[in-house]
Amino acid sequence: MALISPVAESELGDVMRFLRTVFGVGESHRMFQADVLRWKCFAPHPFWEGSRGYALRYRGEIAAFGCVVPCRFLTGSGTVASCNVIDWAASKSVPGAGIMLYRHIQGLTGAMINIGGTEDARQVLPRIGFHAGVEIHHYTRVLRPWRHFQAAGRKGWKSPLRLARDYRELVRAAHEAGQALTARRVDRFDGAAAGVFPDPAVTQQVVCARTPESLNYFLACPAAQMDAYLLERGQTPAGYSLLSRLGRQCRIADLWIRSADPREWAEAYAAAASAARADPHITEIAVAASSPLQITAIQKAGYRRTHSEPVFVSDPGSLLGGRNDFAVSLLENDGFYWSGNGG
Amino acid sequence: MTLIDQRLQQIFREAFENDKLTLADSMSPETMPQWDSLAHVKMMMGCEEEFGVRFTIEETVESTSVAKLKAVLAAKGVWR
Repeated sequence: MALISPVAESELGDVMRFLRTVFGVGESHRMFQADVLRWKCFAPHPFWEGSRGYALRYRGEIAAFGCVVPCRFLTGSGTVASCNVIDWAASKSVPGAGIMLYRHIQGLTGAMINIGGTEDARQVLPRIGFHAGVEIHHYTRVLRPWRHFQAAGRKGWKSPLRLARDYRELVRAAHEAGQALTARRVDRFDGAAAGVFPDPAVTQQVVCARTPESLNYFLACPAAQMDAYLLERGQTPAGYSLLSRLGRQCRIADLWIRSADPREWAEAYAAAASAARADPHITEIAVAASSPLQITAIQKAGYRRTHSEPVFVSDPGSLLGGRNDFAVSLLENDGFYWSGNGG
Repeated sequence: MTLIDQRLQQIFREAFENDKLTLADSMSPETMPQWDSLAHVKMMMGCEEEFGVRFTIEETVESTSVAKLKAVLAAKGVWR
């Protein structure tokens, strides 16, 4: 008998064992430890009721698992409930289990996105109604060139050239950075003015809804050190940023300012970099964006593109009205805390 | 070979990316090393698209041989 249902917190042990087996990692892998999985699946999220972990059980055993990352798109004409799935895994001994679970989750929200994915997933998604929408582009900027150079594992003949380039970029970014926006660290987003959160009328994009409660959920992620900032012009709140830190790297998990001007966005990304640099252990900052406004600003702020991933979209009810101008960030999946070696 | 056999064979050829594959009831993951999860999904979806049916979870995970798949399709009125 095969059955799909949300997993209960009491089943966390089964889920952990299943994920470690499928992904071939040990108990030390941070992504599948109990506190991280508990946060992913069970910590209260304002956009999802109940467990976000779903399993397909076949003959009593977990044969497939996926964890929902809820998301709400604001299109300007309405709100579209959506989600992404992370930790999607299936047992090889039950062919088709993974895709059946995915289809089930697809039916839970109006629209669904998939960011990146394996080569296999990219082959299958178009057959279950997904189309490649935008691309999310990843960027980094070195904040401490010499320490970054020293910390690099393997060095080749290009390493000194990269070091020189990073110094040059650092000087250029310092010259270009305006002082109009500053990042003020706050403990939580409670009480933040509604005007600092994404508004599709400001940027003329499909944006992801954020609320103090949803950002506070991400702030509680146990897999990275998370910090909240309000971006201010003088004393006036203009936006926010959420930074995650893993080892020597800081990631801009999310950032938004109330402006459609790429120069002001570039100032915001520079302000986030300054906030990250206040931590003496940080040598590099990373960010990702899918929309021309943010991409232009990120490049202007001295970040260098590393790679891109497709964002697949399923929208059977045309709730998004064919829009393809999504502004997604690292918050829409596990990109802000994921670590390939387990963290 | 019936017309439906031929259509099913074509689905398998596309799923397994093998233009010379000849369909046999005995084919299963045990007899075909290429029958992995991805090929299985492609095969099941190919059947859904070709025959206009929708498989349940049970049918998807239980269709682990050509004979079993034919039985499932027969129960859906495709195989007569």
